[in-house]
Amino acid sequence: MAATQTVQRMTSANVMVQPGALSRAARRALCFARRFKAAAAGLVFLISISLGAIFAPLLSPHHPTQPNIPERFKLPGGQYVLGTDDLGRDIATRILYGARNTLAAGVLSVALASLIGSVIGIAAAYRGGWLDNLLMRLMDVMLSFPAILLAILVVASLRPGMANLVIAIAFSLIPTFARLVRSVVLGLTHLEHVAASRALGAGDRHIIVRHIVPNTAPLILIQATAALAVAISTAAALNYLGLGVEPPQPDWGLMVAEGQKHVFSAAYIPLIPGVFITIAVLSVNFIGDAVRDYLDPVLKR
Amino acid sequence: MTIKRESNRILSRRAFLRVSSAASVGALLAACAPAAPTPTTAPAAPAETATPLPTQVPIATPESVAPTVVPTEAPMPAANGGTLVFAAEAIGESLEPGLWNGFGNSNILDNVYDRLTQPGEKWTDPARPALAESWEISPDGLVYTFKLRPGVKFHDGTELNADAVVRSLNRMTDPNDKSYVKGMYMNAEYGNANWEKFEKIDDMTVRLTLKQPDAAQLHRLFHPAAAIMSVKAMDEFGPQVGLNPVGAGPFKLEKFVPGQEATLVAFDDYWQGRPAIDKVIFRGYPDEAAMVAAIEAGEVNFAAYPPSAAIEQFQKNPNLKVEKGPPLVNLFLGLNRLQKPMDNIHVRRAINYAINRQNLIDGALYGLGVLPASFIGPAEFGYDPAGLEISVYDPEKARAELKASGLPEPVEITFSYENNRFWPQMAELIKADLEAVGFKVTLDKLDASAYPAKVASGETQLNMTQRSLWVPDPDNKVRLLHSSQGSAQWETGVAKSDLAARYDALLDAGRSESDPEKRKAIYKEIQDLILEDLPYVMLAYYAKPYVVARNVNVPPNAVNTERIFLRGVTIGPG
Repeated sequence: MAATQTVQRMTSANVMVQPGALSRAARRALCFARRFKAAAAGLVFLISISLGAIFAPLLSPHHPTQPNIPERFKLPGGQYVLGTDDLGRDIATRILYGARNTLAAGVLSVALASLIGSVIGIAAAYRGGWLDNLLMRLMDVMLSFPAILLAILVVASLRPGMANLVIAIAFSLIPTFARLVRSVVLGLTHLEHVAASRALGAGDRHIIVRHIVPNTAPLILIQATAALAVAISTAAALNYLGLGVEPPQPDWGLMVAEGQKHVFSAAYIPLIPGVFITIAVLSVNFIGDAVRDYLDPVLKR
Repeated sequence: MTIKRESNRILSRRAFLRVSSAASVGALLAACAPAAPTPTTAPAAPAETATPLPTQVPIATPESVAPTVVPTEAPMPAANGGTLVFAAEAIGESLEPGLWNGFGNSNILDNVYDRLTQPGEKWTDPARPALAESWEISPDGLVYTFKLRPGVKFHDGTELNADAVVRSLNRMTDPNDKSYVKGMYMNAEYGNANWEKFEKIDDMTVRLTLKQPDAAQLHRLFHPAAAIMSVKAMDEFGPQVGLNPVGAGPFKLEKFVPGQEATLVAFDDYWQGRPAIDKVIFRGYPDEAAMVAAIEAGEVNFAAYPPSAAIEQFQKNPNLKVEKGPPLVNLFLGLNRLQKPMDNIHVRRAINYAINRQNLIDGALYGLGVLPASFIGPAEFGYDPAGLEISVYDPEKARAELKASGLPEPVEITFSYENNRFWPQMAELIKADLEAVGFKVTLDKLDASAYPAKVASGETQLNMTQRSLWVPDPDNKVRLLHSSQGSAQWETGVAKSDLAARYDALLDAGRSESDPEKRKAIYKEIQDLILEDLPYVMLAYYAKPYVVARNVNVPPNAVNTERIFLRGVTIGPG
């Protein structure tokens, strides 16, 4: 929602709530969907899987973790839409409950990373000097490790678990946010309206809140959608390695790991969660591309 | 040309490993093309590995039926009757018989070394002479005098004599021995603790004096740890003899890559006659999917630890034979009473009644198992079916017992287990069963290397392990868990309880008794005590299967759960 506000401010469309606004918004959405077909499809997928995850207990008659041995290895179709796994649990139910873990881990870690990264970036750019140097060298050190390796390192040293998984992924994403925000803020502080504001006696706090944060927000948003795709796949990877949620709890990555021993005899067991991971990551990527195109004034013209 | 083809096939895996490792390094460095390493490494591989192959092919195999087949069956893989590729779960770091290095290494040891005795025709039969040609036992059962077999050669050409036997068996407990390695475990459960002395009488006679009579002593002498090795090797390699094993077994070690692979070749001067197969390659497959793929592809023709999830698939494959072993492997939960709330007998009983064992057998073992009674299995001496009434699934009783424990529900427990084979599935099923009666279970999934250490630290509450029969005598595994000196005592903590003295007394009585009927009665008493006290909860007797290629013939006494003797195995045509 914050995104649309900034978008409006940037494009100076100045849309106020007035008669016909609803239809106008709908028309805009339709227009957006027509222009970014893949993104629209991705959005539909993400929204429906999110709703499915939220209302999973209402949607599914099956239990996500309770084994049911007589019903195992049921092929997709019939009573079990996506079949059952080696312990007789309904895969569709586990996908829905698993989305809670996989998608939540992605969203939460990106939120955390963008928050911390932005604070670091703004502090570094705005204060400059030794603080800037220190923070940026620290970010360089973090960037010199591959993100997944850094995340494995953090989660392994903190102890596997959902909360630590989120922390680990966020930790690995912080440097990109910090560097991006810093470079934008550096440019902003030299703009005339910031200088004017300062000349009028505005304090740091006022400048940061009124001028800097609003102007970095769209970029953070674009970066966040890009990072979300990485975060979801990293979450799935860490869960695959057994560093995330505890076994009977479902998670897409974990479901692939648990199912892979049946890859020759019942390939659908590891395949289905794998496909969901792929679609989710692709969807986020498409949306990210669309948001970037939409917010980029040059491309827009 | 036919030979060329064959050698190419054998080489291809190594070449493949080289190429793939080179490629992965290349990919890591973001090098340009994955195709680049292929031409450079592929020609290098044959040059390096060609040396052992010519020796393998020309050697005639006197007794085997195979040689007639070699020239005719050109395109058939593994048609030369020679090479057995044995898939183990993993290959450990050392081949030291006195140390535990995993099942794969113990399978290698069983074929490189011979021992004073060997198993009978049937696994549970009395022990037969091997390197000891004959023996005399004193009437009080304390003194064993062994006559050694003359003319037995070790792989290095030296001959078997009393020095080799005495030193091989005493080095385990003698820190002054040149080849001593700290931590060799033969002491308690395998009998050394009961040994007064093991001494040389003359060049071909040795004498073992016991502290107490031991009905299983002759069996214990074919435990993998009781390997007889060459004196020359012990002197030459010292503590490194584990990397350079020199025994008198049917196969001699050609190459050992710790953690990966071992190559054994037939020993021409073996005292029972040269084995039929020329060569055995033991390879570790820690990844189940990789093992399944290797078995399906025919890359492996003997798989002793096939993933149970794939058994049905193997049964459908016309090129494979799946053999189900006898249900000799105990699977059980250890309830460590040194950790609360496992000290509470009602909690232990609740766990016992909460578990749906048939579900475990169907779900995690894919039907390869039978319902358990107590610690001694149906195919073993001392089996007591009374336990079938106690090791049962009765959730109502479980709930009542948990209530009786007086603990606030849910009762929280941590469950430690190994993250491989069927263990994770078992753990998830058990967790669901336990939570259904009022427990809250935290799963503690550990790597195969970390799990034994965690159990040995005494910090686990609930743990899950298997016990196999290394030696066909009930004392072997019962002692391991219950003796106050047993190395597995931390699974249950029983050795630190008030019952330790009672268990020790019963175990010693069982070991000393030579009359089978009386002995049976003692083991019944032990099992009654176990079922009442519940230091552990039996889950199943697992019938461990093995898978071989269609043309591999395995004689009936070759595979005894974890003990696998490849001497009589032959590879037929096709």
